[in-house]
Amino acid sequence: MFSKVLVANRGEIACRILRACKEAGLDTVAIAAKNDASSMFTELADHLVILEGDDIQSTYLNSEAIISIALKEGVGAIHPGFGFLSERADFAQAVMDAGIVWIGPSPHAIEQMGDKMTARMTMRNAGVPVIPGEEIESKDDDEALRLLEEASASVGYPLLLKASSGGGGKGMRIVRNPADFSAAAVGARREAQAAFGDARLYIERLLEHAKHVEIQVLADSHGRTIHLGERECSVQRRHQKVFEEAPCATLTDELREAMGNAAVAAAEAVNYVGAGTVEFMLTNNGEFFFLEMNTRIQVEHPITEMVTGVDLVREQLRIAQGEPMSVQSLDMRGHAIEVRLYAEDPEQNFLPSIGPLAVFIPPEGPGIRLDTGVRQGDEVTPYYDPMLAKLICWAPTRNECLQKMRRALDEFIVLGTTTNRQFLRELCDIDAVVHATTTTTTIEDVWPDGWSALHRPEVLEAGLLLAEVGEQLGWARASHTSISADGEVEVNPFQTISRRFPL
Amino acid sequence: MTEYLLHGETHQVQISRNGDVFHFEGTEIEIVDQGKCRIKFPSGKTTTGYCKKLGDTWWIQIDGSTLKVQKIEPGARSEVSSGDCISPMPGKILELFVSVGEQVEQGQPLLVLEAMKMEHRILAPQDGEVGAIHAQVGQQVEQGKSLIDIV
Repeated sequence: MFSKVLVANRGEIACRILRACKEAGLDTVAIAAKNDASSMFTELADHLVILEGDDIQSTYLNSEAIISIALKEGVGAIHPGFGFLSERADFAQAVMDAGIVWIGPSPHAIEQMGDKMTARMTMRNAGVPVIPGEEIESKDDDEALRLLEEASASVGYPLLLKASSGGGGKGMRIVRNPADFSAAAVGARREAQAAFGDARLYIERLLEHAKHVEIQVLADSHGRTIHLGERECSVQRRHQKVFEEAPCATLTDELREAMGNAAVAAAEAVNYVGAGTVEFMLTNNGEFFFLEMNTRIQVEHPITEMVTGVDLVREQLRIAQGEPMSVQSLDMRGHAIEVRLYAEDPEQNFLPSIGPLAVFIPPEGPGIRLDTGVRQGDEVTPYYDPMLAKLICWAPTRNECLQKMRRALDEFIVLGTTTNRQFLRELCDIDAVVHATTTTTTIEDVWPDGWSALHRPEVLEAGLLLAEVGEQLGWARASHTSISADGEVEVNPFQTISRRFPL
Repeated sequence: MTEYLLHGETHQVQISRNGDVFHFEGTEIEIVDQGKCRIKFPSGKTTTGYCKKLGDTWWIQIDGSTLKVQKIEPGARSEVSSGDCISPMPGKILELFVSVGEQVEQGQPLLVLEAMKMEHRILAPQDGEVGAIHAQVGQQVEQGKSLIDIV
């Protein structure tokens, strides 16, 4: 049994885990890079250790430093969150070798599922269909390119290049035309090397007009493995999900049963323990193919929590303590949708953006959940992932859930950094979302020339007027009363002006 | 009267004030708090609008729309001409696809910028000829730096 947990992560997922630990009565340690020292997650921990070093290699990816901090702090377990070291079998092994509990599956399971080749073989043996594809092993650039070209012929076009040890869209390219192949392969290898320290690529056939449907699994060390239903995460840009829902509106009970059983078989095949996700591509004629298994908690886990009533992070902690999972029979209710608020410009091909979160007012009300790691006044920097928040809605039916999400996105005020908020809001209105016919190419299909925001003329006019009102009242220069360095209170004259206009 | 730039167009804005309420034609704006106003549209519908000025730009959110309204200071001239390819964020130049004197088309990839651990293709903002290149492969660039002039 452990009583103190180190969270080896940052941002919203660190907040999520630190809160779950607190609720479970566990002492917590957060680690933060210097440029994260005042981030929200650092406030939620009982102990904070600032990491030396200036880049992620020497901070959040520095397994030696993290383990030595854990030992010094007398930590009993490490939770890796997602990204960073969460799917590194060598890190999991090093944690266990140091006598610390690893909150996740065994290094062996991570290795088997993390290596896409082995994962495919394991799946095939477990009777789960897999997409045609090949992994190219070579470290030598020229040889790798030659082998990739050869493989492309047998896999067929259109095809997908993916980093072997990757995820999150990094090191990933779609190639439709043999003429574009080598440029794409060079770029993908370089991005894979930079992001994961491993340039190996995996090449597979791209299934088009298919849905991305994934099954949440949970397994404890008492021999029980269950699935908690599916999440549909088809809507993606830059190969990253932006809109996820549970359940998948078009999945039949028979198909849900078949995919659930396949996912449980996949987990059992590697003696999986903890929370994991088995991802599938589902074609429009009801065929499904294994994509990959993520051996960690996933970004979109909240929607499963909303429809099942299971606290997945709390279950991870319980299972890591060696206890049986607390989930009894599954009783799914209602519908949940998650959208990912990113600091990015959807009008510029979703290019990440930076800036201050000068105004950040999240929506509220029944059925609304916000998982975030930022608050008003924070600065969005280029050093980390540009995801600002996950906005999650729950309602009894899918239609009501969409209505709630539209309302919530309209209420969400973010000023100072360009975000995808308005894009997400318009996404809730497109036919494919309304009629639940989304596929992994929906965004490109609906906006082939890129997206640009729709603004009502009266709103544009009011916007210009509001700017002028702000100018006239001196809001541009005004700040709230501030305390100067010598402790004297400075009164800002402009605040006095605005007091003349009470509500 | 002040001039503002919104979506590439210049607008002259004049507003009348009657006590706590500003109005222009059928639109009314009533102050709620600093940076927060109640807006009454000509249709009679009301909504709450938020605004915040950063640099010369008013960030505004009204009824689900986010707008960036740039104030044009009298006599101010932009240091950046419209044909310049500007670094949208701090990053590292990984590849340059064009050289000086080359003809490019709008939307053609000019270079690859690595930022936030991902590669971004920076596209030509307009048709033209590459006049000058101010960046080299491997160079770290700041946000807002002019990288390539298209003339």
